[in-house]
Amino acid sequence: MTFTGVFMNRISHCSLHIMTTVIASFLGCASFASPQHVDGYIWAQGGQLQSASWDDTTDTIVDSTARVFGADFGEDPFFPFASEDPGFGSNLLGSTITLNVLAGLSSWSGSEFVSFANASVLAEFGGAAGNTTSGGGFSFLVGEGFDLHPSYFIEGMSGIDPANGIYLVSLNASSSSYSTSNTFWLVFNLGESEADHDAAIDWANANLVPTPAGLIAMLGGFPLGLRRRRRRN
Amino acid sequence: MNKSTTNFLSFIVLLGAFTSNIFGQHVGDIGVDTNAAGRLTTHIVADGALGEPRRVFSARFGDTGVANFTANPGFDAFPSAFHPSFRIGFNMRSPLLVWNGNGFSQTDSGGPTLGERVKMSFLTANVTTAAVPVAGFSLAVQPDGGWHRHFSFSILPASGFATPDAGIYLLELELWPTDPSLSTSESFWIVMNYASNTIDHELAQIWVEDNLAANPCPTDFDHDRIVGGSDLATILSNWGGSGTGDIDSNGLVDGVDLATLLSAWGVCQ
Repeated sequence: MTFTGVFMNRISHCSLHIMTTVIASFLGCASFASPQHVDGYIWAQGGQLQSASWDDTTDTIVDSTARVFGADFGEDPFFPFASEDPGFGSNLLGSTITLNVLAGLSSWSGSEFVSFANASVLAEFGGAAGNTTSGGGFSFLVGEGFDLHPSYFIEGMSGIDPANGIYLVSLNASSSSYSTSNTFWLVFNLGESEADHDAAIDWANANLVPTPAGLIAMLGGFPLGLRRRRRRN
Repeated sequence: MNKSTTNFLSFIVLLGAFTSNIFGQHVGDIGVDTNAAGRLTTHIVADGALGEPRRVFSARFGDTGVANFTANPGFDAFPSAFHPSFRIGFNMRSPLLVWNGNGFSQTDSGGPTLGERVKMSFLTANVTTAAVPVAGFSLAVQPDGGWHRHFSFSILPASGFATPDAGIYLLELELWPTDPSLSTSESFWIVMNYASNTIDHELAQIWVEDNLAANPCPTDFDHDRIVGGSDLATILSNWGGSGTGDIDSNGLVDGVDLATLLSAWGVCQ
């Protein structure tokens, strides 16, 4: 029996979940070794677009199944209600992908996300935009060295500054060449604590992301839906 | 082989595919660092690392599918390059210039402003090239000490026109730090292709490398190949300040710089 054959024979005795958990643990440890720049990543599997998390500093995929991404408004105090994170990378060279912002903004109540109508989050790139009030999105062509950073803005209604809070934005990715991705989520923190932001991200992973990723996250506490980048300031 | 094994191997193969595909994600970006004297420097980014110092970079409007727009090149200072309590800013050092086949000239006048212009924006901040140098704005260093930023570049048509002329455009920038222990970079250039051909784009980059980045005439601030009255005016207008005119990079436009300019007076050699 060849080495490959032995290897495959051995791992055939392991459950997929155990192996996935081990790998997730390994990736999770790596992700928490230092404050990490975590962006999104769009790829395809089985003809469907998928979301992943991507460390664009080291150019590595951190979690190929990530569907929850954290970010902070006001990381740069010059832009208190805006962010350019999370960015998105992709390996789908030559494809035009549309990021769709799904209508409906939610805010963190302390124990769950609830519908919130007093603010809107807008995502813009290259002059096109979508927002959580009416939906819409923007398209981009994936080229060499692709590293997209949309501009995200949160706006209060009637010109009033938005209240501090943790906000949940739903998106998907579509393309003429692939079927539309499952929904993925951005969890933005505006002025709340790191602990609350982490709790909201954990909730989203456990309650929005279907199993097995969500199940593993609940059982093992592994960061399959990547935690957000550390606060910048 | 059972399904679990197959799935696991697929996962491993997928990780491998990612690794090979993303290895060059930052190629073409502007690497940012400091030299031994504490001056900001720009570099080529290759294979995810800072390469040799470089002052000429390229961009192509439309590379992400929006005709008059690009978010490239980005800027990459890797973690620990700067202290996170500071910011890095930029200035536009010259009007937008356009390739004429033998060099760069000013864009055609289309009204009270010059012709085509480039707007650089980031979130709610933006500035646009003009007939004079334009002060930019700063962005925070990230908590890990890195500075990975993508500005949005938009090319604007001349006043009264619906679209910009196709051409190769030249944007001259400098980077400045808020950290007082560091100093402003030398000029660097982004050679930007708007709906023109690749050959002209490459020729223009070579010209900039040979004629501007090589810096044969550091007192020719307006790049007209002559050290003359306009360059003297630049020194005088920036007297006592920093940036353009600070030929010896001591952080001050002063008598030493003036003497250097006067000694080089005339056609650039």
